[in-house]
Amino acid sequence: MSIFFLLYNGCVLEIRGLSKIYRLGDIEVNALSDVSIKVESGEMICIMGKSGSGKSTLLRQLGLIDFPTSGSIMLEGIDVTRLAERKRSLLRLEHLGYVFQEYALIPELTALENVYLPAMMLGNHKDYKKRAYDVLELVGLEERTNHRPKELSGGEQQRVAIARALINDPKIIFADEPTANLDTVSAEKVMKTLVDLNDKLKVTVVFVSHDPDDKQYAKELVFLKDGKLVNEYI
Amino acid sequence: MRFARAARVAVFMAVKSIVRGNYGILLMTVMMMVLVYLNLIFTPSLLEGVIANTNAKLVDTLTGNVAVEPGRDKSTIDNVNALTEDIRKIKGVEAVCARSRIGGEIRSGDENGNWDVYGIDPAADKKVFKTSRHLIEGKYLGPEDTGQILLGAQIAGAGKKGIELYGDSLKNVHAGDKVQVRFTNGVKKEFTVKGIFYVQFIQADLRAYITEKDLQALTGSKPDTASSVYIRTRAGVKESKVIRDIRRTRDDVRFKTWEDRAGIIKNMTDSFVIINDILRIVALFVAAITIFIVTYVDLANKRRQIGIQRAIGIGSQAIVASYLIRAAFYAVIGACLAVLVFLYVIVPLEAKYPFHFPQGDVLLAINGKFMARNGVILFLVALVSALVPAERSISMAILDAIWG
Repeated sequence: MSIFFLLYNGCVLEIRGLSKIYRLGDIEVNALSDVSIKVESGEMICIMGKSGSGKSTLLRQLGLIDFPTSGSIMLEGIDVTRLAERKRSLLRLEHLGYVFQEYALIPELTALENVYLPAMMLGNHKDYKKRAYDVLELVGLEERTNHRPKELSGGEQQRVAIARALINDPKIIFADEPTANLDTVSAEKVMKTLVDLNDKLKVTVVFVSHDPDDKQYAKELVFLKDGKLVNEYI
Repeated sequence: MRFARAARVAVFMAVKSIVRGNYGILLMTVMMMVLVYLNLIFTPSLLEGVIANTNAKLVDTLTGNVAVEPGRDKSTIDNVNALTEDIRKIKGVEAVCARSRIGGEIRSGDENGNWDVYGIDPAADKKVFKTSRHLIEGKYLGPEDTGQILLGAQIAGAGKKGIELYGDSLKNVHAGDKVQVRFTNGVKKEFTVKGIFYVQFIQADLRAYITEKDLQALTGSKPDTASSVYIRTRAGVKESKVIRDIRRTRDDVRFKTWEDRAGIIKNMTDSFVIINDILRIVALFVAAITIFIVTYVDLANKRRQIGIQRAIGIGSQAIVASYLIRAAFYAVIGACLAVLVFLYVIVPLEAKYPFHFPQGDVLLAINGKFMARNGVILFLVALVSALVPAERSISMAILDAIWG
């Protein structure tokens, strides 16, 4: 697969005609309807919409965490829509970083250990502990490496999650409402961290938000309403 | 390489989870494993102790390791002195003795009964059998004794109302008392009870012994004959080898090993083996269900965490393996602690306050191979029991795992 990535010069990620239908008993819910998006390398895209608009559902399809009902997902030109879970898992580990709304760190591990776990699994960094320390330094947490999640603030935990998403040099980082549970100061720090990564390291970032103020951090905006793309935030 | 990395991650997650997890839960789980393992080995050890005790008493009081009996259509063994001398020379034989049996009615006051009376050479008999170590009253027979009799507790009664056949015994005969014996040939004689033995093995305690010299004088039996010859072999010597060697010199006798003579005891042993197997299967089910529940509850609590691990690309096999390692850890630590508790608490305690069976006080048998085998079984059961819920948890869709 790597050879294809090397030869491909187009966008990093493209979805075509993506739909997702959830079944709740006899009722069908159209969470996404015929959504098509292209994500170019180095972009900072914000998917915006009100609660229930389908923005998190879209991010999960993009992040290969869920399977769409129809449509296709192309990662650097390769169709990854129906890949088996084992291969998807490897793709997520190698090429995608994911930051959850709730900090989602492993409570028994320190910040450093939480960060280097994916690197340990992938094995692309010989000195993964040093690499983990470096990324923690990048997000401003070099002083908190040996603290466990319960000893960190919400904002710090979220920045550890960003560092974890970053450790394997992903092509894209997905962040699902990363500031939803944070106070204003922490939220700003987290968003600034993502912006810095995008600006300085040219990491492609796709994040979801329902807060119109977050528009300022994005280079591109995608608006969703009732599972469909719309032209502006309503 | 990928497998090695997954294994490394699995070990890492398992170790961190154990070291930094909830110590209360860890302690409870290990304690449960200790109980499960003790459950696996305690009753079988007790039953094995009963079997070993019964077999030992059979050898030590009734049969020796090998019994030589008269040939077909004969009631006695001839040239017994030469035979015992020959047997004594065989490599692997520790001691040999001859016994002559005659029936007799023993009476004391109004109480009487019919029991087997044996004529023995006390010195030789003492080397083969351990009856002399179980005297509860008086002394053992001496080679020159005449008019002296040694009674089993089930014959004498000795005022011990708790013994199994007290109702059929002479009830209150003690060392120094006089009893009348009427042998099956009609001869009647009064004997002084020199001692009373209580082996706590009914078949042995239903016997009476007088000296061979007395028996010959009273019954007029042919000298240099005996009903049976008993052999004690050295530890580790096969009975079949001794029998083969004797056959080279004598072909007019038959042989029985102690196992051939076990009879009812063998049936009991077989039943114990079956009971043992049933109890072990039940204990293993308990172990399996315990570990399954522990893992299942743990996985249920960590469902979201596992979903997140999968979402960030941690391989399912590494996650499953981490749970298997933890289950293996619980089983190994539990089994090791249980072995220590068994060897250094339960066994000494049971030895101090032993269980009382009809065969006597029973000590728990310590069998290293058996304990190791059960440790391995517990280990495998733990792995399988953890594998089922762990596999189930990773077969769930990631979204369902994270958000329910």
